[in-house]
Amino acid sequence: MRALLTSVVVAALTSLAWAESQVRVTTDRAIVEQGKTFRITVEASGEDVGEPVIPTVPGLSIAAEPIYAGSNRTLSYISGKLTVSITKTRGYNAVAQELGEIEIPAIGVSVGGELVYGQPVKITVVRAGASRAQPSPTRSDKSLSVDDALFLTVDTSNNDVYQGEAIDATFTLWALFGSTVRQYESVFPSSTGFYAVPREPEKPDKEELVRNNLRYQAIRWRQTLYPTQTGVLELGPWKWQGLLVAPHAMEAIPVELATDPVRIAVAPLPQPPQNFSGAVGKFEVSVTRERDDALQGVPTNMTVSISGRGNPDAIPAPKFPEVDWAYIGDPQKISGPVDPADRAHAELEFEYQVTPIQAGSHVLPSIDFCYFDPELEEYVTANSEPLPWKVLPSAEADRQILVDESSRDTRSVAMAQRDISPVVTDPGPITRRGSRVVFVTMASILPALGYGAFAAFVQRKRRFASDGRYARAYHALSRAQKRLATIDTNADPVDGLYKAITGFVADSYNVPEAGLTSADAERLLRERSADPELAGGFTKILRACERARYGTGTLSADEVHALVHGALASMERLDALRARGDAS
Amino acid sequence: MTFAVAATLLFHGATLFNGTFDRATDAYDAGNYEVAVNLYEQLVADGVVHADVFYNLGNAYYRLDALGPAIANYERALHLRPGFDAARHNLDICLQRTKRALAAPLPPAWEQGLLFWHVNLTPVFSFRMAVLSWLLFWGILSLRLWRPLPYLRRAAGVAFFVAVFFGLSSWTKEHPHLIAVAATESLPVHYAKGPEEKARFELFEGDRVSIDRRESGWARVTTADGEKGWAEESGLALVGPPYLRPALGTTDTAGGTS
Repeated sequence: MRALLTSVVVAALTSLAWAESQVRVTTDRAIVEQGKTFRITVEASGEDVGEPVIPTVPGLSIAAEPIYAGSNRTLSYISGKLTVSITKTRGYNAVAQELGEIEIPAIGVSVGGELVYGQPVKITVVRAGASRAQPSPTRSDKSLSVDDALFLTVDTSNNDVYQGEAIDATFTLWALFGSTVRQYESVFPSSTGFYAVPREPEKPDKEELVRNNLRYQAIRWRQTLYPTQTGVLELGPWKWQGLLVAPHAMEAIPVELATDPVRIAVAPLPQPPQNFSGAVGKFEVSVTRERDDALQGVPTNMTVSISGRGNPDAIPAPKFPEVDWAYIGDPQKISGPVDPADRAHAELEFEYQVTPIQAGSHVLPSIDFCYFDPELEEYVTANSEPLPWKVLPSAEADRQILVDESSRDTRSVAMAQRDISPVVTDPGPITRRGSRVVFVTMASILPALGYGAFAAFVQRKRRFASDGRYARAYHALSRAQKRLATIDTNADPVDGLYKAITGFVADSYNVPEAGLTSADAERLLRERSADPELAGGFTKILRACERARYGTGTLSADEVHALVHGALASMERLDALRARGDAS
Repeated sequence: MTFAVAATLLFHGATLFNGTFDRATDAYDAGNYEVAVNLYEQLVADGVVHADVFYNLGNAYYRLDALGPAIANYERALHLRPGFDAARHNLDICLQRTKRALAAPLPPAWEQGLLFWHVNLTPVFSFRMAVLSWLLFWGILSLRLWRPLPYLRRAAGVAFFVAVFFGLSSWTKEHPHLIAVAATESLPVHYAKGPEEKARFELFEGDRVSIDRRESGWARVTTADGEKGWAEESGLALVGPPYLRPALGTTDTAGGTS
């Protein structure tokens, strides 16, 4: 019965909220001047929207016909059904005739055959010109005192709170529009018994406001207070001193101001449940993870987000239920950005490193976050959705799964069953490991050098085989030297010397050796040798040999040795010249 | 003569090191694990790089309940001899005793892609294969110069690529990405180096991480999933090379270096 009643009330409230959202009434300004025109706009949405019913408002004259009319058609699918929604907008001119606050009552519009009302709107009517110029307040001015020109107020959002509940405190310095304050000092109220954010009010905001039909520049400092003690706590007084220069005044007036203390009754929290986190306010919890599929043994990140209204610094990391398939590390707190306009709004994230130990499909149970809701005046537990995890086995999987699933402490059971393998007793010869740099360098370079030498050798060998002229010239000296070395054992040394020289010349210039005379040799040497003196030397030795062979004269052994010595010297010289390319 | 002197010195050295090894093993068998650790560490400090020495050292650290240094030494032994079953078995047991059996960091992506085949090769095998294939390459070139038989050019090309790949494998195994093992029960990893910096996450004893920078007693560590941060080197046992003695794990410093 109680559940049914609750459902009916909720349904009624929901329909009311929906109805409210269908008609919206706004004015183009909140402060209007007496006798001046301003505009009231009525916006209504629905399937069949009629015209607004403009009420009669005392002190206010609203035109019967709209000065502006517009409509907008929207097509949308809701639950597979096409819905046509029309939004009608009507603008009405209005003139305020009386000073003070005037409330425009709810304006009704027929939507879908039913009369739906918008919300009431309040306007403040001031004297014509009051918002542009103010009278100059002086101490002698009886109508407007210094107290009217400059004063302080302290406003708190709630003076009857629970311990830890957020209280928004606003410290406002009201300065008559056009006046100036200089050289001021402000001593904000002591926040003893409160956890204050920020510690001291900072960075005020400024706004033009109307108070008591006068236009002011309001300088506001804001602070959020969380009572840490119970009982009646006092906030204040707020003290201010400085110089005031009134509008159109030349002289600065020293002013000292102070507010009355604000008393706040702080009630203790009721007996908390065991899982109470310590947070006071209204919160929501959600859990997200870095990736859907985790790998066994590889850590992945999971984030628990807590958002809502309450002291962000008093929100602890939620406790995770223990799971046997993963290791969940300690959380790391990441605070969201602080909204200076609402410091009690908390956006916190706690990042956990989860290392899955067992492969398979698992579920991370929901997380409970128990807080005290001051509005409901009871403890509320927010829950996250249970999170399914698919853990893929890793290459090291066989190392992890050791015992059957019935065991809770798998690792300790495994230790009782297995021991390490014994030490090695015969490692073979143990040597110090030297640097491999020299070996690597040698092993890299030497094969290439060897290949180069081998390539040169092969090339030369091939030239000997293919180039007979080169081969004869290359071996000419060695052949001649061999011939001359055995000249002493020769029966005719002079003939041997002659043949050795002509053979050398023939080899050197690749001509037939047989029948080569001294004249032929001289001609060859003179034609191809760059050194005429060398050719002359060879010719002289050959002629001496010819004279000894064909003439009457004979050569003694010493003379033959001298000729051999001279021939050897000339041959070596010619060979050197040829090798250098001086003789071809 | 020179060869004889070198052979004598080598034999003497081998005898000396084998003697230290035997004394360490005897100490281990007698339950004097600290002495065994010091003797094995002395071998390592003397430049001995041997899978059996690291394996026995890992066992000695394990018996001293120093999981971090034990895991580091088993990793060293497995790096030198990937088919060392006893070392892998003991490493598994150590990992089971760690708090969360964190996966080992993987080598760089290029190594995983290019050298996937060399995981189970020993550094010595890779090195020998690199040298042999290099010599083979030049040998084939020389043969082709001497007598240009068919397919020698292709054979030389194949030998060259084999030499390059085994050379890369050998270099990678000689200069592996540095791995370290957390050697303290809990090791905070900070956003920046310095104990005053905010801690980012925590390593537990036996967690393996890779190190990409080392500066003034701090190491920038990366976990298997890419989480990075700075940890104090004194709380880590480096797998190496260099094969440094961990700061924790033993109390007797006789004969040891760090």
